[in-house]
Amino acid sequence: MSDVAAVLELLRHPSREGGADMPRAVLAELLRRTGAAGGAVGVGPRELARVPGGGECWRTTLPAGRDEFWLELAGGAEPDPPLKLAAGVVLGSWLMREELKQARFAERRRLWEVESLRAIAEALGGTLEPIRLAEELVLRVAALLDARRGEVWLVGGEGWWRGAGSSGGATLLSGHTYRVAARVGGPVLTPEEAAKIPDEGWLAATRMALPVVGRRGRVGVLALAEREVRGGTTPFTPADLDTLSLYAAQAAVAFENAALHGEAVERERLERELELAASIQKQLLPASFAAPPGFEIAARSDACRHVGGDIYDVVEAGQGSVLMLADVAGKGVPAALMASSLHAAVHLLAAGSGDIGELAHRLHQHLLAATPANKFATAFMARLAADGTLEYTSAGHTPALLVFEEGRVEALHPVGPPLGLLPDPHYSSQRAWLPPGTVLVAFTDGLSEAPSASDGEEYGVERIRDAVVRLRHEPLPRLVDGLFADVDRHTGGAALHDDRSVLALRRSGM
Amino acid sequence: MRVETFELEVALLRGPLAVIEVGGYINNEAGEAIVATARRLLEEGHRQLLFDLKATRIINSIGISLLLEVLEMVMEAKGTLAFCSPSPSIAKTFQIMGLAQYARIFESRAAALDALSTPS
Repeated sequence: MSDVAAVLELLRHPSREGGADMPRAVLAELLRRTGAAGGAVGVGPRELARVPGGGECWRTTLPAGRDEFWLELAGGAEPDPPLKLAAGVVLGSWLMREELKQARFAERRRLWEVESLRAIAEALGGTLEPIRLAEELVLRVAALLDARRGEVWLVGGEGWWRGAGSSGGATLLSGHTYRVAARVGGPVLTPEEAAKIPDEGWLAATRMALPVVGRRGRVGVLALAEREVRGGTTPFTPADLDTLSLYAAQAAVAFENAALHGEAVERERLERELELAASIQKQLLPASFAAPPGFEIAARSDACRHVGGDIYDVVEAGQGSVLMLADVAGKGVPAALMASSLHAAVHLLAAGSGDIGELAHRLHQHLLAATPANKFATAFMARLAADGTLEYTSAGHTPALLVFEEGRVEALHPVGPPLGLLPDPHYSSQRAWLPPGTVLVAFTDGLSEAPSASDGEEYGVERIRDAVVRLRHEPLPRLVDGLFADVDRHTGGAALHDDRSVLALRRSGM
Repeated sequence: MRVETFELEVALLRGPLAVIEVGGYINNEAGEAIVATARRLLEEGHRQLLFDLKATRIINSIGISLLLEVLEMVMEAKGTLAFCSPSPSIAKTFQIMGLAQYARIFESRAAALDALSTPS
């Protein structure tokens, strides 16, 4: 094969080891053909290949059209013009091919960047799980910015990502919890560094980081380390930080959506639990009772929240039916739990207690032992005898009203402090006699203290008394509903500020 | 938490076929290991290189350029370069970056082995 043909033959293997050694192959062929011991080839200021040895080199140009290729051979050796032309053609072809590849790669890389931005928007919009969001984010960002390492931190005062799965511990710094949610390649920041990243971001040669800031403040930190190039790394640039900020802006929206979704799910769960609790409590508060012979009983309770702290019941206890209406201090779930406990205790203790005062005392001891120190309940309790005798006691409860048939009213005032409040109270048993037609109405302070819509004036015991006197001949359920309706008119139908309950009893006519 | 640590293993050598399992982040370091392995396998006479990407979720542009280098090596050796089980994201990346134009992409290793064992 001629010298020229041997050099041109190299064109048939354009991509040996990525094209990087084509200049070496050309140089080796020229050394072989000229017998030189060493030399170099290059283009412009750039040396492409060198074989040391042979002493001083002489430089000559290789005709290649656009590019200025040069050749240095040791010992004054020089290829003939056709061989130089062939070498120049091969190197020129190789260089154009390399440039074309690079241009095509750069063009495709830009397309890939655009696609990555679109894909991450889609991926971030497609999930509401914070850990998955963080994984998507770190994979996309590290890949796009050629970072060797990357991580996504989640930041929040209460750990808004709770329940999103566990992957590592969290660190509490300055009242905020920092936790690595996703990582690629290895660690980038310490928790202390993550906590100190300024709002505008942090750029160093080998690392950069940017906070993810939503409307409710900082929710995360994006961090990358070691920007790669072929064979090594190169410093991050402000343009890289700008690119990172595009992702941070998308991530902020996605993380906020995830947080809001998590909160909504949690609210929904609590709502379901409260509805269930309300349903259970409703079972404990029947609207009608199997009243003892000669009596009618009706009751109603409206809770100001899903569940309430008012409780009532009528318990058959051998020596007569025991009626109880109690109002646990506080509202909502804690009060409802205590009311349930009190309800169960009445059922357990009613039969074994001597007089009604003793029952009150035993209930007091139960509350004292089973509830926190600041929890107490007012209660009106009565035992009903078939002859119309009412044995009653009142533990700090608003006075129950006895309304006689002719309209006279007697208030049954408290005889002791609320249950569970003081260490050693005394509850005496009181007696009253209910002639036929007499109505007993016990109520909680949610009625008497219901504020007027116009000036906030409380409905008051006097208005309750007047309403019951006015309604005393109505069927008992209608009397109870009428009383509630009167309170509603007073408040203008405003939302309840406290639980409202009424337990009413009438001794039937002879 | 998956940290995407790079792993490479030649899982199968059968005649001209070599199956290489790749896991973790394909970046510069990983890409160079892939190039070196591909070169060795080609020198050993394996002309069908199948890279199983089941355990790979991330590749950067340096990793892609090194896979393009593997493609050139395989094409120069008149061989076949194939990938199987790429994630949707990586499959899209291969499409955009031109790898899918010359390399064969399969959804699963079974599909790849089936196709590569059938003379085309």
